[in-house]
Amino acid sequence: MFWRKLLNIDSKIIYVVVGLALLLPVIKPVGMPVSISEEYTRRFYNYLTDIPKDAVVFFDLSFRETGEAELGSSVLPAFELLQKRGVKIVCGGQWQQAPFFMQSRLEKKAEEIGSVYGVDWVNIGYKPGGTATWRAMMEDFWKGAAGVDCNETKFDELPLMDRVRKLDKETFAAIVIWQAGTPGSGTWMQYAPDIPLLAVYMGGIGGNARYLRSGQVQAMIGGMQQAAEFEIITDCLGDATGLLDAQSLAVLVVIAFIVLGNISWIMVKRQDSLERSS
Amino acid sequence: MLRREVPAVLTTVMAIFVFLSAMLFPLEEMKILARTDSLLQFMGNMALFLGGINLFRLHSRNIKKKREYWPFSLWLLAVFVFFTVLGIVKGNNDPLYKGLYDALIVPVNASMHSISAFFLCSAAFKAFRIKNLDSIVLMISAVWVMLASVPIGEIISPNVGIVKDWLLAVPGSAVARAMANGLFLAGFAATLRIFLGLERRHLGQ
Repeated sequence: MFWRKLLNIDSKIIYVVVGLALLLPVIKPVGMPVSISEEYTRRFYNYLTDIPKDAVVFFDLSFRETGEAELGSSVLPAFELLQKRGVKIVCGGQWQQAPFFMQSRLEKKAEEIGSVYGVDWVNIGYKPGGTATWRAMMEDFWKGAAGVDCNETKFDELPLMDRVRKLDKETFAAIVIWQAGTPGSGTWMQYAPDIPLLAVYMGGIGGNARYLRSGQVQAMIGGMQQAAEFEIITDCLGDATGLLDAQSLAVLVVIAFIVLGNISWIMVKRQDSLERSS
Repeated sequence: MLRREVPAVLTTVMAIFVFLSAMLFPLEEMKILARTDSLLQFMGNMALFLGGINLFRLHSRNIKKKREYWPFSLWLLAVFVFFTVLGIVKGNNDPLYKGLYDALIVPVNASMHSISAFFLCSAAFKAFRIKNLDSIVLMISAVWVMLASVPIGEIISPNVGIVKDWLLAVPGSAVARAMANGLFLAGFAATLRIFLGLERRHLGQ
């Protein structure tokens, strides 16, 4: 009887339990220990710190608001890490949302660390047209990007853009992509395979681990845990570290529900077959 | 003739042209793709324009005929017109445009996505059943990867993470690559049918 009741539990009760599991650690954080993954986070960090001073890196912010917590949280530490080392950054995106809403966050961070817009970094914003636009930038960056940044400031008013005439390996030391789906790293693998590519994936590494093994991506991190690891390794604590406790508890709740669901299903099935045989 | 044969012939000729210019070295040097790319950009922008018109027509009809949920159509068109006009007149960097976007779209979109956590948990409870060996393997690996993706996995055992990395890097990668190859071949076959004029549904036939 108990198992049957449990099997037919109202979804609203599950929602309340999940809600509490997400809310309580935010109100009262536990501070679970986080160890740094050598294969992913350390490798990602080391690659960024090996980029020579004064080189230019392209930040491809290809996500939307849904990826802000997981992806957005590692953009600022990477930005700070490279800018403090004197590496120049050009931001853009294959998705229209992130280059737009990350601009104010990047401006705030730049002000905090003393980076000058136009000299140390530029945000060209979202450029419509898909892969055709990026291929056009490989021929002529200014023409392909319509010659203006996200604030509609002309490239010739931004000293950094003097160095950025083509989207190629001579101009960019690396491309770092934060991607929530398609279009994403595939664009760079297909059309700019000679520029080193680093990737940050939403929801975890998953099937993308194959790109690391094949050498198509030089380093990658994924999901909230590795975003938190990256925040810790760069000493730039933010959302990911703060929300990791909530995610831990939520995962435990999901696992508990899977196990309970299966136990109750087996018990009810057994009970039904016993009743039928009797 | 103009509605059927000409678009089909144009598709086939352009497909052969682009395919050869991507494959053959001398044609690549002639930068033909760069020229077709400009056409693609133009077509992309035109598609956006057509999409706007289509959206407007569809929802205007909903409002006119007072179909179910027509107030939502009205709301959609009002927001569509407001943001289009504001964006064109004041630009993307207008404080009102940016402020509305940051205060509305960002939190609403993030909230919508967060709600999936609740549905996921409910679905996992009600639908994830270990009925055979395949589902047992699926459940064990899913639970393992979930545990290893949060600090609690590391607390249980440091080996949890090692096994997860192996699962992702070896069997996960192999399967993902096999699927990617299959998808590419299927996509290529479908595209080839369009190139050769065998598939004409995009022309409304």
